[in-house]
Amino acid sequence: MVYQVQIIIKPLEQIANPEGQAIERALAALSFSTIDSVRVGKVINFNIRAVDSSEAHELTQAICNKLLVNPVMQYSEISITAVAD
Amino acid sequence: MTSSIKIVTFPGTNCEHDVLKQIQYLQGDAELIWHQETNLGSCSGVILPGGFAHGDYLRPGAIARFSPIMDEVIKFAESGGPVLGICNGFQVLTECGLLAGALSINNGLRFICKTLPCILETTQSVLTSAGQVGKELLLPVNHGEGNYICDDQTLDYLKENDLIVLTYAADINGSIDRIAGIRNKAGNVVGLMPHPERAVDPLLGYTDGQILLQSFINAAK
Repeated sequence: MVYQVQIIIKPLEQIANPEGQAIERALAALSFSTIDSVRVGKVINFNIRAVDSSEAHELTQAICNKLLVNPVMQYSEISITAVAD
Repeated sequence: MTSSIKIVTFPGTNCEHDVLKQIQYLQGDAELIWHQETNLGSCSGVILPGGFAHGDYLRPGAIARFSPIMDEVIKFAESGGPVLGICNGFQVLTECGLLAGALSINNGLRFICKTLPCILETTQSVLTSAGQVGKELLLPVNHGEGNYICDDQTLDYLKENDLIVLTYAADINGSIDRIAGIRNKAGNVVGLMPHPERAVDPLLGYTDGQILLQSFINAAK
């Protein structure tokens, strides 16, 4: 099976996020005054071949642990959708 | 073959020649080594210089950490060999787990390119053994992601074990406790964000980096 994977990498809540703060200031300057708590992360998409969604999840988690996410400052949310046999 | 300090060059590294010239200026033996090599050869020390290894894609140091030479660098460090990471090299050392914590984007998003006062915090490292605790050093700083972060437990560990090597005299980038450089417990692995190699030859205007690189050369004998 082929699965479409999306990984959202976010900065840990306790870590300052200066990109989010800069965007928040820009939005305020544009009179979007009801916006707060802007945080900027990263989205990574790829396709993965696996026997089932459980294996796809396991592989994706291993990829996150090995390379994509630094747990000192980030965490990830994984979503997996089957796209082809 | 005489043993020498190996200066690792990744694609995107841009300070390797500065480091090489200044090690030579201080009468040290050094040579460049390409990141695809799998053998450090006759090696007395390793320096990971500054730059943007692998374009800094994903996170600074995250991809460089998996360059073939890094397995050898890690083995060399674990056997007690002196290893120094400068700026991007510091980021690589945290990514590969030889040093604690991580380097995040500067508070205020500003890329800092200034010569700034730093405080030497310990002499228990291969970078600072010839220095004096409390001594102020003027060192060139040149980074966009030098904001040192770690959890409270790691910070306590750093403090309890005297692992903070260098601090900025003032907060410049949001680094916890103004940390500019740290070491491992054994003191043979050190990472710092400022560039000592840009403050060696008096021709460049500053010389406070001499004591740091001289310490490293002494350790690499």
